[in-house]
Amino acid sequence: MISAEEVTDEEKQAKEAERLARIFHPPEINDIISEVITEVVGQQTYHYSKVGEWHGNITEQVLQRLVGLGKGFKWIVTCVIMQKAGAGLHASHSCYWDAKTDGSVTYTYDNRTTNVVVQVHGVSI
Amino acid sequence: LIHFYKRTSVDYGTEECSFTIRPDFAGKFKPMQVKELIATTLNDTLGGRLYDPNKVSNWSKSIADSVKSQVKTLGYDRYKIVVEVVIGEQRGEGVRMGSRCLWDSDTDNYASEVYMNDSLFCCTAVFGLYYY
Repeated sequence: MISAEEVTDEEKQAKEAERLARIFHPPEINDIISEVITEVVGQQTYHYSKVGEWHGNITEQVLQRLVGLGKGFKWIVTCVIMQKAGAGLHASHSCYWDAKTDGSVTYTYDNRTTNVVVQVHGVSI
Repeated sequence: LIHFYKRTSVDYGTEECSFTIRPDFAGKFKPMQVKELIATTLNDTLGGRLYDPNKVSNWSKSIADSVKSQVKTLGYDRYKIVVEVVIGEQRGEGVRMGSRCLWDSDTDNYASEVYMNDSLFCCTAVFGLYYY
């Protein structure tokens, strides 16, 4: 026999899952980006001939996975790959949008020779 | 591909339901116009400056905010705007920046510009996304 409390817990979880499937949810986007970067760059050494390929792969794979989430958003994925040479880098963004529905995520990754910064902006339709 | 849209009279004073799902040709995001705007802002803010780690974060934020507010004055109704600014020190290292977007290519567009001097480089990208 199902008690009244159990049903409401399941209902709550189902509603929560449905809500997260519709909105901009940073943790799942962070997961996508980190998986893609470790797969494409991993611990490899920076080389000017490979950077183009890494960059294309990272941005395209992140975009494909975001599309696979099936949410009603337009996506912008930006990636900056830089060699570690002791130089400084600052990235910032300014957005004019609806703050309730739209959002962005910035993810940084570094290994011994490379710095990677990925920014994802999601703008709802 | 033929687009049908109803041309309504644009009245900036009152809010009215317009049912437009596409901008007119005159109201589309114009990359060249925005590109010139970015170039002027970058030259004015960074022209002749040296990389200073204490000040750079303020410069990047102020460039982003200033470009965004200038693009707003260009009169792109119904467009959401994203401005990205990256400033780095010039030490001869390799850098690559780029982006991929999923959008409606009829209505959305972007403009980008790079400024370089001997001690720093700055790359700015402005994305305009139509809100249906």
